[in-house]
Amino acid sequence: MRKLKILIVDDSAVMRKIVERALRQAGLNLGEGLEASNGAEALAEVQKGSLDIILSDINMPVMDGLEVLKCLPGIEAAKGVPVIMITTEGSEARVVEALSVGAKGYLRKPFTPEQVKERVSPLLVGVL
Amino acid sequence: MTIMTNAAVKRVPLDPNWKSVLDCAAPEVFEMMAGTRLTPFVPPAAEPGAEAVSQEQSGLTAMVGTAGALCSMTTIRCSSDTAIKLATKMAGDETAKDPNIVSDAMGELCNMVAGNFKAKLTSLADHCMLSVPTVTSGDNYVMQAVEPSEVLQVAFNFEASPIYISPNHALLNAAKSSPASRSSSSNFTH
Repeated sequence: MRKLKILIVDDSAVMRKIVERALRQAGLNLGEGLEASNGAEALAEVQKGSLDIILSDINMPVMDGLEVLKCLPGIEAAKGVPVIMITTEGSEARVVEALSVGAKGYLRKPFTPEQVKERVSPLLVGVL
Repeated sequence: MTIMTNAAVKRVPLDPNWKSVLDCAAPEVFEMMAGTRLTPFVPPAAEPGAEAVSQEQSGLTAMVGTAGALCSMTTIRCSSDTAIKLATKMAGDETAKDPNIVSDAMGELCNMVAGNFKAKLTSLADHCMLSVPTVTSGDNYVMQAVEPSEVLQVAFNFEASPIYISPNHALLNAAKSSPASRSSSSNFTH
């Protein structure tokens, strides 16, 4: 089974670590961890290509997660790469906005590895 | 998203029943994100006739503001040692490599406690927003609200050390804007 290329986008290094750990605890076969601390760095990673999925925080400096979502359709390498938004907010409006601009799902902090798996696995059906 | 920080927003008063919500919301965050189970902590009562307990603090205080229906500042306060232990549980060996990780971890915990707390209250979930976290550390500092405020505090034990968590709620006149409500939208962009 090949190793997954998952991009984790969050301005908090601690949160990036926690998300990566949760993905591994969920039993996903991760390759080298790909990280970005804001939307601009994320887009640079996306342009390198071959990502399986992106997990992105919404609220970040420089460029937030919603702006990233809006930019992705213009990037050839992002075609077909699902994005899951990670949010601290309990605001339904924020989630609806993310889904309306292309997010395939969302994960609310705090989360368990099981919840991460529930969100991520269905989007990797053709890959796993 | 429209940010509801003007006088038209219906302010929600602090409800004493929210203490039980906070009692549930805070440990949930610590258990899920730091893999640690908090137990209730009862701060020792001052001896009759003893001098008032000093308001000076030391260690580390993480803060996240809430604007909108509820104007408040959620804080998490603990010793520096406790903060390092929590950060180690969250980030593993990274803690030792980077001193900023401790502040990062405490800020994220505070952010998630504030978010989880408001998510459990339908009157707040869609009607207020969180600021980015701020973390203060050092000795003998005093936290003071400029506006009159009331505090809902819960305390927990983590490895025999107390962690204090409290939303400090500004007692606002609905027609009067607060410092939080005057903040730029860039500070409340969740």
